Amino acid sequence: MKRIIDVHGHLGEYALFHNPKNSADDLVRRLDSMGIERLILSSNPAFASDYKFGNDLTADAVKRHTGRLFGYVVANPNYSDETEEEFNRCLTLPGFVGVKLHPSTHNYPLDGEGYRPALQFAIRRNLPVLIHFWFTDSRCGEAAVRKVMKNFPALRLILAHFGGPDNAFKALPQLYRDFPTLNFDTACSRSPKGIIEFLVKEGLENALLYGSDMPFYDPGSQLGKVEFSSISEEVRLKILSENAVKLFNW
Amino acid sequence: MIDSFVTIGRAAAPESVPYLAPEELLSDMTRLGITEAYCSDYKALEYSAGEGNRLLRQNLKPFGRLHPVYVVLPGISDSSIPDNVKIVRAEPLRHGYSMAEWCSGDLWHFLESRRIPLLLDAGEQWDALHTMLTAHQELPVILTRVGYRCSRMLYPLLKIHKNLHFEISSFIVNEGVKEVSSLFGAERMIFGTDAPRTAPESAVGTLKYAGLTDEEYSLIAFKNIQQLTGGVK
Repeated sequence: MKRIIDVHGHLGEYALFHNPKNSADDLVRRLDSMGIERLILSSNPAFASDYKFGNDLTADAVKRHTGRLFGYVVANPNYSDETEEEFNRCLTLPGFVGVKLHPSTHNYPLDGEGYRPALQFAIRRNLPVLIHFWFTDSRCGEAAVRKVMKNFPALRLILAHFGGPDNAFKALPQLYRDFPTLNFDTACSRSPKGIIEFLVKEGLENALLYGSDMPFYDPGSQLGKVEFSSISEEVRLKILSENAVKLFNW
Repeated sequence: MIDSFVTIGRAAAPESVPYLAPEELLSDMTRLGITEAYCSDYKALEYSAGEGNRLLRQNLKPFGRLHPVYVVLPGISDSSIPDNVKIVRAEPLRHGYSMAEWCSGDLWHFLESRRIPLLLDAGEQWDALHTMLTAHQELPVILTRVGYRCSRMLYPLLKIHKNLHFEISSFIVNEGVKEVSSLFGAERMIFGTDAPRTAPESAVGTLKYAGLTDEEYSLIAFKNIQQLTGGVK
């Protein structure tokens, strides 16, 4: 059976729009139905309201679904003096395997001082860092990522959403050539035809990670664009799980 | 599967790899198990509806699996739409007109009188859509590009207007297809890919992994569009 690991998930409600079936139990049921082994998630309140409350929800979910759900601890740069303590608190709990940063919802630039404690912590602990990556948002666009990577070259970043709107994905190959430790997840609300094939052809096959953004996005749409794309089975397996296994040291 | 929503031809500023020839679309369809597709042409969307539609129809004649979708504008006449055109497409925001009766009422009335399914990009003009659907209750409307953030608008309209449907290319609400089927019936959804703007593999995945019964799957994949196009007068 094909191994599938989803590196980008969420948990819980979200006030801005309807996202049904968002509980930990619902997520695991869906993983089962789609043959997905693991999901790494952060909870929505962690980046949409009280981040500590959100990290608690993540801790509870990954504890109740050991081996299926894993957690990203979220830092809020607007409370950066708490980051070290909060990360130490969460990362002593089982199931946390990485860091999630969302500069858009926290309205804070990725290259700002408030993120420095989280980035430094991630480097010390060798934790992958998933970042909401959006080309048209200067808080988490290409320039901010380049600046952070120059300042912290040891970071192991996962950039989400292929950079967001329209043709942003076309800039990813050059970004990857400049910073070959970068990784990119596949979660995207609209992926143009040929996007997976293009990125593989451009040499990103070892940097692409299957991510769904469930339950914001339905995982069927996200898995479909990898599962049915015109790439070799060898590369498909890399995207669906092998690259994640290496990144998370599984 | 029958794809209700494809655009072929050379766009001025393509957002992805375009289908420059029908054979390229057919190749993708065969690979993905799509038997037929309803296609419009970028020339009709971006240059001239009349000329683009005419060229599209001519271009698709040798390809029995590909069916022309005409782009329509207010002011259309009965003779503008040949009998073998079973679906039309409207994008009021792109083409600079209002969906309101004072502007488009005659167009909607004409399509309604012939029960021609309308692929409509309403651009999230929900109030205008509600007004239009209220005035034209026999017009089969298929909303296009219904995104994952609009359920709070879409669901009440589906409840009120039985002639409202949508194609699923952008509807990536988590377990949304199953939810809509449970709440309003699988009859309200139509398989569409929005290729090449969107990777067709995405809609295929949405449908295949939706956890539907065989009957629900068949309705969305092909039966609903067959029923709507079969109702054209």
